[in-house]
Formats: sequence, structure tokens, C-alpha cells
Amino acid sequence: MISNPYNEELIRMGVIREKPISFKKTVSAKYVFKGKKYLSYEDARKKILSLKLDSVDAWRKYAFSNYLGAGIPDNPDVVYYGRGWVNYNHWLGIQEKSKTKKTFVKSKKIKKFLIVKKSPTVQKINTDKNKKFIKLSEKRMPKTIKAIKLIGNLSNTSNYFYSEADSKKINKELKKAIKILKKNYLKN
Amino acid sequence: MVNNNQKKEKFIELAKSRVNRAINMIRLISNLANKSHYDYTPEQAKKIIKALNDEVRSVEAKFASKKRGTEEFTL
Repeated sequence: MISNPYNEELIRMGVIREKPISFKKTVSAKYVFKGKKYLSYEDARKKILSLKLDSVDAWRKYAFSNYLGAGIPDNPDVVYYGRGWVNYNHWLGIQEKSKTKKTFVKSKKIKKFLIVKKSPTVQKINTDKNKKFIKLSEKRMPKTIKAIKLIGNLSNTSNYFYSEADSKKINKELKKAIKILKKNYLKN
Repeated sequence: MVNNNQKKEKFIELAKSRVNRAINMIRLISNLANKSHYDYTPEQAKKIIKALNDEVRSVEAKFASKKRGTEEFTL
């Protein structure tokens, strides 16, 4: 505040406060990334910690299906890169138990440890059902990719005439279909 | 601009059938996500999602690259 004899007198008389009222830092959007404003890393992290997500997968599911709040990105690893980003365990407040163990184990043993860790998820899968899945998806995927590629041929302006709205509509419909597919696969 | 009208009709006709077909095919693939009938690893699911996403993106890029040609020249 600029010192001003008139103001000083008013302060003495108690008409105005000495310091101007500071605005609360509710949305102190500090960073602008690709045109959007974001909170600083620590502020955003505090809000995420209150959700108590226990794994990166849980975070992905949550970020995919919920609104996170103003100024909190759903891709913090990109937004905060070089601005305080450590890793997802730090972001979600997960204690890194495995790291402390690894320091005592030699590098060769770590590789074995990782392989053992991966195998149970593979064993859990029903092989008959997985075979069925592979068989059908190998049949259907090439067909769908061909069908989508055919749509791309419609962009040829020497054979077809269309407005921007038409092409936008097509893209929208396709993206919608894929969003539903993504949801179905990530549900389980 | 009879020619353009014909081109537009052709486009609408083909776009309708092709987009509907593609969306039906995608629906068929999302049926495979049903874990009571099928089973898959997360990697397999990711592979499928990625392949389809890439394809849709390339279609979008194809349309975007030819945006300019669609506007008619008027005086």
C-alpha cells in the first residue's frame, strides 16, 4: 500500500485497516499449461491425498471417471514435469516399501523378484476363456480397423463434398463408441 | 453446382452406412470385455484400445488435413 499522509491518519482513527484485506488463496492457479490454469504441485497434491487412493490404478480409474476439482490435472506427470513432479507414489502418498528392500538386494535378484511378481496375475486368468477371447478378437479387430479406414477414404474431396460439421460429427460418433469400449475394458 | 450436390449426396449415403458399420463393429469388440464369457490380461485390453484409438485418430487427421478444400469460392 502506498504510504500517504491521509491514509495514515485514517488508520490512526481506525477507519481503515493497516493492511489491505488479502484474498484467500482458494484458487491460486500458478501454472498455465497449454492454456489451462493449474494449482501448484503441493496444493494439488494435498487435495489428492485427502482421497486416500492406494494405487496408481485406483488413481487412473478415479481420474477417468470423476471431476477432480478446479486446477487439478488428470495428467499430473505431464503438467508438473520439472515443476516439482516426483512420481505417482509421491503424488498419491503411497509409501514405497519395495524400494527400501531393493537397495539391499543385488541387481540380478531384482529381476527374478519382478518376474515372480508378474506371474500370479497371468495365472489368475482363465486360459480357456482367454483363448476364446484371442480367437474372436483376432477375427474382429482386422474387420473393424478396415471399416474405420474406409471412413477415412471419405475425406477425399475430389470424390466427395462435405462440410466441416459433417466430418466433426463422424469423429464425434467414433470417439463416443471408443469411449464406451474403453469403459467396458477398464471396468474389470 | 450440381456436381457438388451429387458429391454431397454420395458422401452422406456412404458416411451413414460406413460409420454405422464401424460403430457396430466396435460394439462387437466391446462385447468381448465381458469377463463372464471371456478373459484377458490388462495388456491385451490396452493393445485393443490403443489400436482402435490410433485408427480413429488417423481418420480425424485425414479429415482435418482437407478442411480447406471444402469451402466454396465466392466473389
